[in-house]
Amino acid sequence: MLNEVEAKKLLEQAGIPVNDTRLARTKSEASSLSREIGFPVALKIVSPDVVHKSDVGGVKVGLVNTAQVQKAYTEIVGSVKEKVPDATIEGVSVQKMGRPGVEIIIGVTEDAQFGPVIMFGLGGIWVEAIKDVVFRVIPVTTWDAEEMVREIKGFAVLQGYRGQEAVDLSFLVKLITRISEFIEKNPRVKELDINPLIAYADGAVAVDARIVVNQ
Amino acid sequence: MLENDLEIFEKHLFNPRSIAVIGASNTPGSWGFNSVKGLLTNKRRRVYPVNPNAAEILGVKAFHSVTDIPDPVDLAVIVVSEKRVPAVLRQCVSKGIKGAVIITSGFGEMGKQGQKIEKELGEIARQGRMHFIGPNSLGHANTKVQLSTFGLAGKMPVGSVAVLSQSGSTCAKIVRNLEGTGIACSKYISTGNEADLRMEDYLEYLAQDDNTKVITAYIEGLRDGRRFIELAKKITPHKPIVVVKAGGTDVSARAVMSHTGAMAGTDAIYTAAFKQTGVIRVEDEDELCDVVYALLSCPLPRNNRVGILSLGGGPGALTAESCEKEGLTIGTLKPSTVKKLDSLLSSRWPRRNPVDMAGPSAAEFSLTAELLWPLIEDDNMDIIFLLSPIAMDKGMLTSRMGVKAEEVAERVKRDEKNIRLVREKIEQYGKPVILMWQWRGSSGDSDLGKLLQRERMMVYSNARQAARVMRHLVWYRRYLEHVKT
Repeated sequence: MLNEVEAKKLLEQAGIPVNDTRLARTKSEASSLSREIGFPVALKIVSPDVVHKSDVGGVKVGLVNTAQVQKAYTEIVGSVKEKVPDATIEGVSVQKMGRPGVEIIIGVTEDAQFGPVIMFGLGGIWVEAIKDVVFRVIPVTTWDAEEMVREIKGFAVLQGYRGQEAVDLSFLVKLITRISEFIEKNPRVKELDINPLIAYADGAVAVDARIVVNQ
Repeated sequence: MLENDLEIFEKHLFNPRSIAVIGASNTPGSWGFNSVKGLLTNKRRRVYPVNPNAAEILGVKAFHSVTDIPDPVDLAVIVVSEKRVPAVLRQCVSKGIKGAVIITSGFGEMGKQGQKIEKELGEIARQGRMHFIGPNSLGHANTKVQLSTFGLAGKMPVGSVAVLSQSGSTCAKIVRNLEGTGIACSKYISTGNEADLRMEDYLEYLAQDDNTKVITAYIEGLRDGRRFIELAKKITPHKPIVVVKAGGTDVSARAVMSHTGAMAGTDAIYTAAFKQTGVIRVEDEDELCDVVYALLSCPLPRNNRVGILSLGGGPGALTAESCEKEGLTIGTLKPSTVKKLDSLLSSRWPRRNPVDMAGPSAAEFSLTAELLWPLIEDDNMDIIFLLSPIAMDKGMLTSRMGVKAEEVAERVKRDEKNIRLVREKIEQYGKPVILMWQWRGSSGDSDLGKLLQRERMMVYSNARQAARVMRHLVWYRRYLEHVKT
């Protein structure tokens, strides 16, 4: 399994915009990286054994100076060690925080019948409760992707809702087809999770990602 | 499809000149009895009952084993007990039989031991370069040559709709439901446990079968989803495929490692696969019949804008609501149409769509046709719902409206002319017209019923039902258009 930093590198190569994310193995590394990247930053635990990072205190956002970053680093590692004692901790990812937008989830999984399948929907931490997602079998064409995007129940949110501007739908469609192509070219990729992809009127950025590769 | 396979399908499975029934029996009501009896009703082909303990079955000479039959046998129908099936199949292979239907049940559906035997049967067929339907099949039929291994007697109506079903009883049900809707079949197959031939194989065969114009299927699970996708993609641009997919057993094993894995349900992915390949998915056999009838009776609507002509405001409003619930839109009348309708209607009419005739008297029903034409001709309308009678039930005319006999005859003539005109306009403008004034239950007027059926009119009493069918057709058209580009 690729960690967040490695996964984002791969996605970037596939044409999916990602935010600048680096791996810090120590508190001071986190501190210097955050100065390089620029505030505000978010810190997230990097561990193959932690899927729901927020649940175990593995995420700290809105950090505006190195003091906060260092404190956050300690707290994150401490919390995860306490809540998931057997977890292997590679370090903590440091990433630039972006502006708020619409949270999207895009994923790829392997169906025993049909092979690789793309999932698209509204994301965030409620995704498993609400399940407003749609699927298509890879290869996904532009037409398929355009249908997908319009099929979710929360389509109105994508079109602009309560002061939030409409997202760039054609860009989302492009990203879906790019992911489809990426999976076709890389059959060893078994699972892929981008949650969330933050969508804006002028594009989108993958802010968290997991990729599982077949050895 | 391999040439060998195609020949087996065409010659042995669907046009056999000689059929052996292995496990034939003189016990009325048994499979071995019904199979022979059913096949004997058609004099075109030779039937060889096989039963080691009987000299004859139903008056026909019986054979000890299939290998004792002196003449060539095109098709074997196997109804012996499950323990004897492998040996019987081997005998068929040594006799050189290329096609078989295994009616016998009690294999894979019963557990692992049965699955092992099914694998064995598949191997026997492979090595014997032959194919079989089943096991656990209720039979198959080719109406054109009056062939049926379902064990039923009687003449089958001949048509152009094929039915593939993974459930035998559902196969029979769909065929009967279609017949009730006035639609006849070309070929139908109860695919059984698919130990040799699978849903995808039948699909590939039917795709090139000139006698089949629409393929329907009842599917519980596919064994080769990717192959189904490749086939369906090639087929649906030329021949519609309409599927009832049951939730059924989950054949997908999935290791859950992420959000995505945890949320992908098999059914959602089947829906995706169908959407991506132009396969129309319906909820049940009823909807299947409606959609098939529509595919055979009207053009695919160019878009989803509905025009409604109704006797009163209420029915029109409800129909509009049903249409919108199914994702259709209510079209806006063109000014030229409004003008035309102005000249025909009283000033009370609302000047918009739905077009409310604003309560004409019974005598003014004749206005319906005149009002319908402008609506069909309006470029802003793609689908027309007619909620006012364009033809009257003779019983209604005389008993309820007190119309005299001579006048009735005249009216009937005019009504027939109008119905034919509706058909013409449907073809000319490429728009479906749904007739909705019929009440639940059929009219007592059989002449009217026959006329409507002859002109392939779509008659519904439930607007939601009709709107749903139209939704499918609109979607199919959109899919076809995008595939062409």
